[in-house]
Amino acid sequence: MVSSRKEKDDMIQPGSLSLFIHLLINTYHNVIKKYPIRAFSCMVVLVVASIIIINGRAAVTNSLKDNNGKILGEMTYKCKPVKEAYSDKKIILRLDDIQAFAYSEISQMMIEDSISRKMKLVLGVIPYNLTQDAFITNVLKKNNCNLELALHGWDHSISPETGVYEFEDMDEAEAASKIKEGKSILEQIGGQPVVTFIPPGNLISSSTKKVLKQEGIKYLSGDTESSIYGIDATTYDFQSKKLNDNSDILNKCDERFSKNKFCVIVIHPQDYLTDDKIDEDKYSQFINLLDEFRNEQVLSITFNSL
Amino acid sequence: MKKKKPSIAILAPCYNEEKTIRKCVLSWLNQIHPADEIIIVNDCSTDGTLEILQEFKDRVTIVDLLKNTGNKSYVQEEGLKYVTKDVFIATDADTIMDRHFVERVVIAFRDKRVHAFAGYIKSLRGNWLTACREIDYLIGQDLHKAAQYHINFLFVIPGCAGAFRTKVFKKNISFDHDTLTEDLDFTYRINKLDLNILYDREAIVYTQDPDTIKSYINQIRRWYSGGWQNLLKHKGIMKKKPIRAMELSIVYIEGLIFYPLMFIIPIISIKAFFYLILYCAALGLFFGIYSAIKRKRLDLFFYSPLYIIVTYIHSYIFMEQFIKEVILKKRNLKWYHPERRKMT
Repeated sequence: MVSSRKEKDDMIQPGSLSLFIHLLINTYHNVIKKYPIRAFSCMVVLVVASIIIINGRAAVTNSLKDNNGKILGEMTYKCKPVKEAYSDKKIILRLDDIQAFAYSEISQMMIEDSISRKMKLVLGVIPYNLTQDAFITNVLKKNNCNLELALHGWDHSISPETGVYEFEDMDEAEAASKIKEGKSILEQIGGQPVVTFIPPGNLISSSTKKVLKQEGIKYLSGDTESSIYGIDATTYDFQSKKLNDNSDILNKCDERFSKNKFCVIVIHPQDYLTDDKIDEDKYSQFINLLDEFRNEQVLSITFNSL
Repeated sequence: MKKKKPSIAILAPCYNEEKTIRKCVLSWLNQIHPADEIIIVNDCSTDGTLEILQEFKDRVTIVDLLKNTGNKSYVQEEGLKYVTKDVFIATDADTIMDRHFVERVVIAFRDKRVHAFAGYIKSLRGNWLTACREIDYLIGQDLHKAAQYHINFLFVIPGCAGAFRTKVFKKNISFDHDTLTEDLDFTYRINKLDLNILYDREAIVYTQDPDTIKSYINQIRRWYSGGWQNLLKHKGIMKKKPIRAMELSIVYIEGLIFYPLMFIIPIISIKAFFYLILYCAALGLFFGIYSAIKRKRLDLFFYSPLYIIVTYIHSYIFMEQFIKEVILKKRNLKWYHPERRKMT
C-alpha cells in the first residue's frame, strides 16, 4: 500500500574501516583537542612505558644470549613431524658434537635445513652444561619430534696426559653416574627416552657397555669394531682434513642399499666452519648432499625407530 | 546582549497512525519548554487518526488534506505552508519526544549561526529486531555521526528529529519529491549551501521501529534505495571538499567492498567464512555490551549475537538497491506503510 508514512532515516555504515576512521576522528576531537595536556601526558606515559617494556624485554633476552650472540628465550614450541614416503633406501644422518656454547649457529642451521628437507636426524649430544645454553636447548626442543637425541659421552673430554677418550677406560661406577645424569638431561630436553649411545672417539670400555645395558641403551653407534651399528660414511676425512665428495658418500650408501641395509652417515658441524665462521662453500656441499638424498628418494630414519 | 529566543513549531505528517498518534501528540504538548505551534498534516487517513486528532484541536493545528498524496515529502511541504514560527521541528507521528527536546532546540537556535539541528534517536522496546536496531542507532549516532559532526559533514538529519530555520528552509531548501529519503535529500542540500548543522545528543526522541522481518526489509530497502538516489542526485557535493568525498567513500565504497564479501567468502573458503562469522560475532558482542551498558538494557546484550542476521539483511539489500538504482537505473519511489503496534 502506498502511503505517506514516515520513518526515521539514518544511513547504516557498512564495514570496519568506517568504524576505525570514525573512532580516530572522535578520539582526536573528544580527547586530544579537548584535553591536550592530559592527552600529551598520557602519550608520554605510554611512550615511556613502551620503552621500559621493550628495554626490559631486551634485557631479558640479552641475558639469554649465547656465545654466538643469538637471541634466546624459553619459549614453547609445537613441533610438526615430517612425513616421508616409504623407501627401501634408508639412511641415518648422525650429527655429532651437539653441545652447549659451541657451534650453535651451524648446528641449528644443519638441523633446520635437514628437517625442512623432510630428513630426520640422530644428534650425538654432549650433555655437559647443556641446560645452561638456552639457545641450543630451544633448538632441540623446537625440533624434538624430528630428532633422536643420542648420548655422546658426558663432556667428550680427552685426557691431556694419556690422550684417552672419556669412556675409553672408565670404570663401571663412574660410567654409571655419568650415563645416568647425561641420559636424564637429554630426556628432559627431548621429551623421549634416550636409547642410543655414541662413544666419543668411537672408543668404549667393556664396563661402560655393561652400564649401557643396565640403563636401557639399545643402540651403540660407533665404529664397526666397537659396536653393532657402525659408520658407513663420514662427510669429513680426518686424514686429509677435507670434506669427502658427496659422490663418495652416495656410492658407499648405494653399496649398503644393495645389501638391503641402511646407511649411517656421520657429520660434525665444526667441519663446516673456517676460522670459527660458517664456510658457505662447505655448507653448500652439505645442502647438496641432502638434496641428492632427496632426489634419490632416500628415507631418513633414526635408531629409535628401528 | 541577550540572545533572542526563537519561536518553535512542530510539524508532523501522518497517515493511519491511530495506534501511535495520541501518545506522540501528548509528548509534543508536554514539553518543559512548550512549542509555540504544532501542525499535524493528515494525509487522508482511513483509520481513526483524525478522530484522535480532533481531541487536541484546541491545542494543535490540524491540516486535513483533501486527497491522499502518498508521499511524506508532499505532506510535509503542505504543512510547511502553515508554519509561522522562526524554527520548525520536523518529526513523525510515531515519534515520542523527550520532555526536553524543544528546550534543546530553543537553546541551539539562539545561536544565529545554527541553521539546522539534528537530534538523537532511541528505539522503543519491541523484539530482537528492534533491539538490533537500537544497537545500530547507538553505533550510528555515538560513533559515526559524532565523527561526522567533528568533520563538519553530518550525513543525515533524521526525519523524526530535525529542526530548521523556517525562512532559510523555505527559501533555499524545501522538500523535494524525487527520492525516497527526503531527510537525506535536504541534508545534502544544507551541506551544499554550507549551512551550520548542530548535532545535539541530549535532544532525544523515541521511535517505533519495525518488529517484523518483512517490515524491516521494506524500511531498509527504502533507506538504501533513497541513499543511492540521493548520491546520484547530489554527486557534485564532493567537489572541492575532500573530507566529504572521504566520508561518502567510507559509506558507499566500503559498502560495495564489504557487503559482497559477506556472500563471496563462504563460497571461496569455509575457514575464512568461519573467521568472518567469528569477527562479526565478536564485534556484535562488543557493541552489545557497549549498548547494554549505555542504555542500561540487558536485552541488547542478549540479542547482540543476532546482529549478524541484520548485517546479512543489510548486505543483501545494499547490493540489491545498488544494482536496481545505479546499474539498472530502475527508480523506486514507492512507499510502504510499516506495521504499527500500540504504544504502551
